[in-house]
Amino acid sequence: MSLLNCARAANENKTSKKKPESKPLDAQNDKSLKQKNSKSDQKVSNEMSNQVGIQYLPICHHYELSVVIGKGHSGSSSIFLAKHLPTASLIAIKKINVEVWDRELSYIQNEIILTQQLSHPNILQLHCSFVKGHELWIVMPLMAFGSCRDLIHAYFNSGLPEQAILFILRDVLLAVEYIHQRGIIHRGIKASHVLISKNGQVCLTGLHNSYNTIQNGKKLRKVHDFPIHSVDCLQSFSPELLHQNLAGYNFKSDIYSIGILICELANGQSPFSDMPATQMLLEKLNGTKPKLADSTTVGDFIIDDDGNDDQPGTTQERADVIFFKRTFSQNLHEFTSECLELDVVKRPSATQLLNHSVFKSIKNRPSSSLPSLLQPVTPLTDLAKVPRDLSAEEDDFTRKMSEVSMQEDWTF
Amino acid sequence: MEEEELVPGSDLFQDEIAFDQEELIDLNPMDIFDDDGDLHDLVIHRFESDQVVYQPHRHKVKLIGKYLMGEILGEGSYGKVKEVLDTETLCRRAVKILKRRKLRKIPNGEQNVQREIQLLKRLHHRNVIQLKDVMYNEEKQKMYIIMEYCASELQEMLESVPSKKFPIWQAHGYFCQLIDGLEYLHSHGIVHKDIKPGNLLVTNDETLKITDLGVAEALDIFANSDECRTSQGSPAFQPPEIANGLNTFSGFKVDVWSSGVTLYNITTGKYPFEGDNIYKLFENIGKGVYTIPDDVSELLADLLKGMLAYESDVRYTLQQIRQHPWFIKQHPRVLERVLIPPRQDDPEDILRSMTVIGCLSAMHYGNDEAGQEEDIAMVSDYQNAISGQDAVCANHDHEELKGNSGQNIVVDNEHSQASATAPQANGKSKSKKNSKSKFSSCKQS
Repeated sequence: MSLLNCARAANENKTSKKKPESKPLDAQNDKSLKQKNSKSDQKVSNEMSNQVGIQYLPICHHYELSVVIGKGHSGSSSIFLAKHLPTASLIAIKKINVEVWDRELSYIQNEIILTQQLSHPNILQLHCSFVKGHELWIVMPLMAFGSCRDLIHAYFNSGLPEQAILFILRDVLLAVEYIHQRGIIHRGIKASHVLISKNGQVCLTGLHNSYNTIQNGKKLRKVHDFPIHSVDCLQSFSPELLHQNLAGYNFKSDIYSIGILICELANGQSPFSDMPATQMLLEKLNGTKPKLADSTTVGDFIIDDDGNDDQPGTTQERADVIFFKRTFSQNLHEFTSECLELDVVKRPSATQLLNHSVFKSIKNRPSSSLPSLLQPVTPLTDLAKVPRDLSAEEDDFTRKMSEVSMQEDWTF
Repeated sequence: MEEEELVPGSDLFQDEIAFDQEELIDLNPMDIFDDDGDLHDLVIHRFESDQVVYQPHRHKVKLIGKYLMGEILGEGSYGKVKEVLDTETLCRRAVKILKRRKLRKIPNGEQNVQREIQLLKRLHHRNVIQLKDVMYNEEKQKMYIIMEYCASELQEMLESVPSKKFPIWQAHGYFCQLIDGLEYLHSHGIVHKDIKPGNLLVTNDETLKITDLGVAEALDIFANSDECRTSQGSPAFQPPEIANGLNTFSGFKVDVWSSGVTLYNITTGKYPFEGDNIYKLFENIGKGVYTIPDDVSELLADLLKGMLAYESDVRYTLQQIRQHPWFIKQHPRVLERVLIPPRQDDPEDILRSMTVIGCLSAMHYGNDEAGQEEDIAMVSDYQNAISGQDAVCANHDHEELKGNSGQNIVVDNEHSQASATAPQANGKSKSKKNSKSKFSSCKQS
């Protein structure tokens, strides 16, 4: 019931924010870089500025589901490409079967309520949410490039180019700075929670893991809550969070996760992803600091390469060559190292990191230049193009199935 | 206690040949000296000095289901409480290890444990300890109750300071949480019957958790009143009606009285009733005469009097406590907080860090872990008695490690069966020392 209520609230939000916004987003992004403390009211999401006046109502026959484009919550939810019929625009819909949802419902409810309280161009907005039968539908803007994990999977097996990483990083840091100012620790920053729109705008999502440090009107200086429902985020957790001791952790834990995110974007795979969780824990508690793999650090990765020799694939071999040849800037190496600083006090905040010299090279460049850096990966913009292959496959399969049953006679 | 007497005197000997008594009983003693047949007939075993090798770091890797065993957190009347690590979520947990052999010696032991599990299963409250898992090892006759991890208990914190009490504001914070938890228990028809600082745990974020429902009583859901007939709680916290041996008494008011004694204790560092033995103690409680120290504020003294009222029907209810001015009052933070003290066996560990690190490095790198024994636990879900869900505790010496290249989490039925009777001669020294030093004080049970 309350889910329905918050869906209605979302809708009211949307209608009240219908004021036209003509400023292009890119200019705003740069502005917010300069004016760190500019309030969120000035920032309006890209999607919203593109679709001013569009109302997404919590009515299920307004939406036509197409194909599954992703999975969420460790596989218990599906994300569909869908069409908003009144405007014929493409959107994404997350569908969760509440009946088979094995965790507390408040978990997903918190994400919806929290996301609606936030308004930042780099945090994925929800258009509306409603319950249909035993399913919860969450209507979201379509992020046509998918997640950074998808990008790595699709083409950049051995990592994204440095310029692309910087664009992504800048937007993620803006989002993180924003939620930290509101007392929220994200606790789930990783490549699959960073989405990119067709215009190259980067959005942070996955707030279901987040923790609000403002409890009972007081802001907690340290947090002890351990997120046990996020086995798939373990690799990005900071050492102090994993420690679970009296010291606790704070918003700097997210900065460590950003360090892990950079490694994941640059190396094509998350550090510690090749080992069991317990070993990852041991490595982190012993102070092992992950690094970017390139010509300057290749010496540190040789041991790993030996370990991987058992399973040499063509992609792996190619990746090795790329690891050797490329060189990330010294700036990016230092930036990563600062994020992964073990001493929480020495680890910089999001605001400090946004002033880092690593961003000089993209200072005056809008995020609309990101898509060109992501070539040959193309965004999912045409409903007619992409899904046809997928649905065709499905058709082929059913046809084959029917043929199979026609050909073979059952003998008892 | 009997275990302690069996520890060989010399420290050197402890490290090389400290057999855990528990293991000795489970095993045929002959097996231990399999590789040295001559010793079979001897009663007194002699060791040459060159055989005695000091090996400081020896961690036993022991998995119970998905839980990796750490060090001892405390020792209760029913058995040890150890820290464990959930190897899937990496969350710290505590495990209460119960041995059937030991339980049988305690009056109502097995019954109490069964009841505690049944009760805890249906309880979900911030201030009541949460049961996470129950497992049973048929072969070893051991039960493992997995619970939330807590950093310390009020008793241990009190003992860490000379005044043996908390600043008023800190005591108030704990007391409010105690009343919250108790109200929840009572609303579920559960009388705890053993409220005392030793049964109140504190988590890393200072959340109080009521624990040890071993002597608790669940009232019949159709019962008209909270009438109880039995009590097995700690004597110093018992109300006059129990000290005087009444046949029936109000259960909820027992908990109010014990909470009153607890509040008295954590704010003054003293007990309202004392006695050299249980008879003297019960005599004093039965008279109901006690004094409140002069430095106790008027408001607090009034609340204590209300909670320690001799007649249970005029004694405060939880509602009355909630409405009492001392309960509502915002107490200024004038004195420094009593912090959770470092672990006794590692005074430098002021943050109470994970104790499974050694086991983790033995599990994944196994570099300095020579000469460990294999320990096997057949673990199954206690309720469903799922057989075959084995937990193999893999300990590897050097040779084995080379072969296995660090993949030490082995779940292999055949392997476990075969080595179940393998000699278990060493590697027990660490936990032995801990149990010795921790025996007197803290317990988490």
